[in-house]
Order: sequence, then C-alpha cells, then structure tokens
Amino acid sequence: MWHFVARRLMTSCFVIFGVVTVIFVLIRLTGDPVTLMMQPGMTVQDAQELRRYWGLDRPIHEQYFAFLADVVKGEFGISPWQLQPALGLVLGRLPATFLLTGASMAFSLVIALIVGTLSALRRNTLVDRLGMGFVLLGQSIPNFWLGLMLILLFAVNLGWLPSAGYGTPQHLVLPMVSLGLFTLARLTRLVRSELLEVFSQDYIRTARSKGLSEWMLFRRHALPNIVIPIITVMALDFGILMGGAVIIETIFAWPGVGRLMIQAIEQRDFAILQAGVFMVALLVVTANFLADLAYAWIDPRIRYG
Amino acid sequence: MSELYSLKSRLCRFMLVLTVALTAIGFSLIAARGAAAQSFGTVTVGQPIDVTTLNPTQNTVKYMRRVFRHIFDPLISIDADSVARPVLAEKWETLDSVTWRFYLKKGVKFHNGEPFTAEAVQLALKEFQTPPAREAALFTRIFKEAKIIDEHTVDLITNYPYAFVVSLLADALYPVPPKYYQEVGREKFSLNPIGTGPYKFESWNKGDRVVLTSNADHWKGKPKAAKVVFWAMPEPSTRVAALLNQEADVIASVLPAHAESLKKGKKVHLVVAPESAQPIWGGIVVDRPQLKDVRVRRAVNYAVNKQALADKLLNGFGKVMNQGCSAGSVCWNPKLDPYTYNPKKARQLLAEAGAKDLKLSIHFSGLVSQSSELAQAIAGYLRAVGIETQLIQEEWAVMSKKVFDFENKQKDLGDIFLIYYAAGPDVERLQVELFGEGGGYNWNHYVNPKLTELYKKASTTFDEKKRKQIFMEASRVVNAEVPWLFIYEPLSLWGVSNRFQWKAGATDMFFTEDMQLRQNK
Repeated sequence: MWHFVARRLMTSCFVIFGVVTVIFVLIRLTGDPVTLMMQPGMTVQDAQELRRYWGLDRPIHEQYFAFLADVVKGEFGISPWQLQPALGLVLGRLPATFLLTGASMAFSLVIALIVGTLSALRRNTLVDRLGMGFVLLGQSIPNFWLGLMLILLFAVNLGWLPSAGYGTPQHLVLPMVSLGLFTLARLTRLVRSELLEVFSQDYIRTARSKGLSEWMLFRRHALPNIVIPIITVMALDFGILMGGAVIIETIFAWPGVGRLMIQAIEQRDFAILQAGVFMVALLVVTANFLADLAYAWIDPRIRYG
Repeated sequence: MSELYSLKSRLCRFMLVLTVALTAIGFSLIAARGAAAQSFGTVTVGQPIDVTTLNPTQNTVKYMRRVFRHIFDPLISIDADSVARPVLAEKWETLDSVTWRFYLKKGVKFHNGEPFTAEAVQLALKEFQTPPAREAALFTRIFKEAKIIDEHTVDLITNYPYAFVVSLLADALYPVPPKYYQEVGREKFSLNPIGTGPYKFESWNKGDRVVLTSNADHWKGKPKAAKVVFWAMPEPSTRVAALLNQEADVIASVLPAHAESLKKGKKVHLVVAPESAQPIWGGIVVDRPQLKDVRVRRAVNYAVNKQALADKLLNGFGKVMNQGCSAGSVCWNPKLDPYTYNPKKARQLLAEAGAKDLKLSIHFSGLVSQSSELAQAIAGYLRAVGIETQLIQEEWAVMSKKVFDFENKQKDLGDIFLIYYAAGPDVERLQVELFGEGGGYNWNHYVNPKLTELYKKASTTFDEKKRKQIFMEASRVVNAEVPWLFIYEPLSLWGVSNRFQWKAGATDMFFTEDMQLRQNK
C-alpha cells in the first residue's frame, strides 16, 4: 500500500509540474499584460519601467526558473491587478468554491441514489419513465438558464430564497441546484443502469433463493457493487465542477475561484492564473487519489502494491 | 414478491420522510430569511465588480471610488449638478500658474483618532505618484510636489501650468493617515483602510461584499445609514432580481433591456443619469491613405444612422454624439453639425473625394457594451453607401496591445476602432488626451495645429468661463474635422428602492449621504 502511495505522490508531482509549466507558457502567449496597465500619458519608457517592476523584462527562461523556485517555496508573486499575494487571493476564494462544489455533489448523490434506485426497481413503469424524463431534462437544460429561472421563481416571484450572494444556508440552495443538476442526471442514469445489471447477476439470485430479505439484498450486495463506478464519476465530475462553476458563480454572485480566474484572464494577471491553476490541479489530483483509496476501502478485492 | 414490495415500500417511506424533512428545513430557512429582512438602516448597493483594493491612492476606477467616497473624504467633490464643492478643502486658489493652494478643514480626525493635516494630503499625492499606483504616470507628469505650508495649508505644485487640477482631484484624491499608513504599509492599508469619511471599514469578503459601518463622530454629523454594503454582482439580471427582491437598495449599471422591469416594479424605480459617463465612439485612424480626406470621414458620419442605433440598442436611453464632449459637459457646443443620417450626402462626399472601392476595417472588443451589434450595424450602413467593411473582433486583452502600440503607430489597429472613454469632471483633460497632439488617448493620430494651440491656451486659462469658450471652439474644430465616427452616449441607469429618493449625477458616482428617504413609497 505504501508503495502505491509513494508512486502516486511521485506521479502527482509530475502531473502538477506539467500543468504549471503548460499554464506558464500558455498565458505568456496571450501577450503583454503591461498593455492592460497603460493609462493616458504613459510613455514607452513608462511601459518598460512597469515591465521591469513586474519582472516581465527578463528572458523567458529566467522568468520560468524564478517561477519554479517560488512555487517550491509556496509563493506565486503579487497580483498586478489586485496588488495582493496571488496565492492568498486564490486560497481566500477556495472555501466558497468547496462549499458550492461539495454541496452540489452531495445533493446530486443523494437524489440520484433515490431516483435511480426507484427507477431500477420499478423498471418500465410510470415511475421509471418519470425518472428518466427527469434525467433527460437534467442533462438538456443549460445550467445558466436554470439558474436565472430559479432566481425568477424562488426569489423574485415567491420571495422564498435570496437571489444571490454568499454566507447563509439559504444562499446555497439555488446555486447548488443549478450546478448540481447535470451531475445529478448523470448519476441517476448510472445508478439505474448499474443496479439493473447487478440485480441480474447470479449471486443476487442465489442470495434471494437462500431467503435474504430484499432490503438486505439491496444494502449488502447491490449497493456496494455500484459505489465504485459512482466514485469514479464523482471524482471526474469534481474537477469539472471546480472549473465549470464559473457561470453559476457569476449568476449568483458567488465569490469562488472560477470567477476570480475569469477576471484574471481578462486582466492578464499571470500571478493569479498560475496560482489558481496550480491549486485546481492539486485538488483534482488529490480528489482522484482519494477516489483510488476509497476503492480499496470499499472493495476488499482491490489491493494496491 | 412480498419482500420486494417491502423494499419498495421502505424506499417510498424514506422518500416521504425526506420530503417532509426538506420541506420543514425549507420553511425554516424562509422564516429565518423573513426575520432577517426586518432589520433597518442598512443600505446595500449592487455593482458589477468588486473592489480590488481599499487603498484610494492605488486605483481610481469608478466602482472603487464609490466605496472610497464612503470611507474617505476627498478634498473636493462634484455634486449631481456637476459643480465642484469643497469637502476637506474648504477653499482653494491659484497663487501663480503652477501653484494651487488648498486651505484644509480644521478639527477633522481619521477613524483611528489621528488628526487630519496637510501631511495626509502630501502622502496621498506621493502614493498616487508611486508605482504600482494606477495613475502614477499621470500624476507624476502633472504634479511636481505637495508642499506643506502649515498644518492646514498645502500647496500642490504642478510641473507646468495646468488649469484642470480641480476636476482631476475631485472625488479622486483622498487623504490617508500618515502615521497609520507608515506603520502598516501600503499592502496592509489596502486591506484595513482608515479614512475621515462618514463610514468606517468593517469587513471585506473578497469577490462578495465590502461592509461599512456608520462613523458617529464624523465631522459632518451622524451619517444617514447604520451600514453601507457594496455587493459585487457581475450578472445584470441578478442585480435586478436582487433589487426587486429587496435584497439590494440601489443597483448600478442597469441594462437598457431591464429598464422596463424596474419601471413596472412596485417597490423600485428607475433613475436615469442626465448625462453619459461613458460615451462610445469610433476612432478613425486619420493618417491611413483612404481616411486622410476629411470628406471621407464626414461621409462615414453621415452614412451611419446613430439615432436608430441609440433607439434600438439603448432603448432610447442615450444621446447621439456629434463631438468629442458629452452633451451637457463644460466643453459641449450645442451649435454644431449633428451629422444627421444622410446616405445620399455620404455618397456625394465620397464621390467628391474620389473614394472608389473603399475598404475599411472595424475593430472592436467586448470592452464596449453591445459592440458586436454596434459594429455589424455600422458595417451595414457603410456597405449601403458603397464602403466595403471587414469586422475584426478580439478580446480587449489582445486588442489593447494594438491600441497602445505607439511605437509602431498602431499599425495593427483597424481603420475604425470602437471604444469608450470615461467621462466625468475631468472631461476637459480627457479632450486634450483624446485630440491633442501626442495625447495619451490619441490612438487615431489626429494632429491639428489649431487644436494644439487651443488646448495649450485652455490648459493655462484658469478662468472657467474663458476656458469654456476655448473648449467650445475646440469642439467646433473636432466636429468639422471628424477624427471620429461619433456614435452615442449611453445614459447610466440605476435601480433604486422606493425607500429612497436619489438623483444620479453625470459622474456615475454614488454617495449614500446624497439620498433622502422617500415620503410616499
């Protein structure tokens, strides 16, 4: 097991190194950030002075090695746009993004397990058709449209929930539903199909013929066998949700990392972009690692050497 | 079979319990929200972006100045009628062509008890001039130094005669407490500001909101609100929803498309600024061979139906432009050719100029609101008079490099580029930057010796009435020479709760103390 952990740590380091190198190069291909800092009256000399101030006048390879040396120390420089340490800005937004992503995933999982199970147990009935209809809608409706409609209905017309913002459980409800709906639909379909496959297996028939109750059958035999694919999909969706929450964050004025990154792109703020991509890469790699550990914990047949 | 039924019924029972539990939680959340909504005295202002700093010397973008105005007092402020009013500067005078003396208010204290003195003004100016402050180059170019005469008198000395000092400083220069600033440093001050303003800083949740509390010891008396909250909401529809839902009391940057919703709202109303804060124009790069002839530039202006553009794209909330100054500003000349839509005259002018097979590129980015629709409409109008057009759309981050490429004389910039300028009290200074030779905003290379002379004269004319006459003459020259495709000036739209009465000014500033409680809601 420790060999596995050590190997994964090493490969994770390579992955993160690759990601920060790619982002370092890519954002510098977008052009000179000093042009966005230009104000009337600034001369060519002023622009050069700004480049010198922000270290942008050095050769690219010098900038890169200096950047790597700083990353190892956990520093990502000062944001020229916000004039604050870039890593601090990103870390300051992470709790909000975690909260939204985590809540959306939990919401999706709970509802998907219920609806998917009912659909599987009542296959080809009205319940199943309603469930699959719900899945189709969930995968078809654009989340930004859904967000705006939910605001219109629950905030403006009914006045039940706040339209936007952050800070209380009420604020979480609408963005959580908007962000989580697509994942919910995917998971529901997965739960249904996995359960249908599991219920058709011989060991289920054997267990049933031995007199095991349906509830025990479901809890002890069916559910554990569908958890692994669910964990896989959720681990993949975690990265998508982390990055894809930017639209929901904008609509609901949710102060997350996604919104910060979009603004940093508009401002060509290299420091924030590098810090943000590094953090997201770290989190995605960690999430996938934890998913692999979870497999071993849930399924005793899976062992890492 | 019965066991299968048992499993299904368990699940159904679980669903029922879950539904009841969620409903109960939901109602409790609604009740909690209802209870919270009964508090008074907090004014919430929704605007599109969050501040990036709370240090007023580092950035002068209007979204931030709205917040700064509450925490800090400026030396001078512009009121809703565009008149400069004394605030921390009780009065000012020019001693000679480069020396402006400001007499400061006595007995004012910063929120931490530090007394407000001339040293605070000197420090603010010095910080304005130090990179990475956004306006460092501009303030270094204009101001030589701030000289302390006594505790409440300070001279601001310019590098050359510069008549626009008052408008430049209005709602822009906010004195900062020297002792505290030096103790904590620039970076920490940006996170924990101290000013002399009617509101003290309480908290800043980045990307979300800045919360300010009332400064009961303010030199003007107790402020009107208990708290002021600046809430960053990038999505325009969400801002409107928040206002209609009474979560926000004031919202900025209302889109024309949303104006009807606010007009129909029972607890809200629409406030329209009298003048535009961001005129939109098309710079014409006048030294391109096909655009050197003034008749071609005039033809471009006659070919475009600007009133139709204002009616359709701004839903009528805008004014057509025919000069560099926005309507109602100090330099606006009411007696100029309006360049009313006249495609026949446009074709005639093109024929006179011998402009055949004319091809022009129109360069634009998302920096300008509705730029895509605007550019396509302009292209259509130009094609109708025989001018072939090519549209170039780029992100502002990419286009800005071409705009600011003075070294290569903007060689990659389109023949016509859509852009705006932030109008406000220092519109006179902006005219010089836009049309003056070597001006910082003169991206279209317009050089007119007569204009250069007029601007030089204006910048050394300290009498406001005489300076106005000079600028009106300058506007006449610009109108005749058409270095721009004059387009339109969108009027700023605000949404305001019926709790309040408020009049928007031309500078797009917001100050809670300018609001009144409405008698009939």
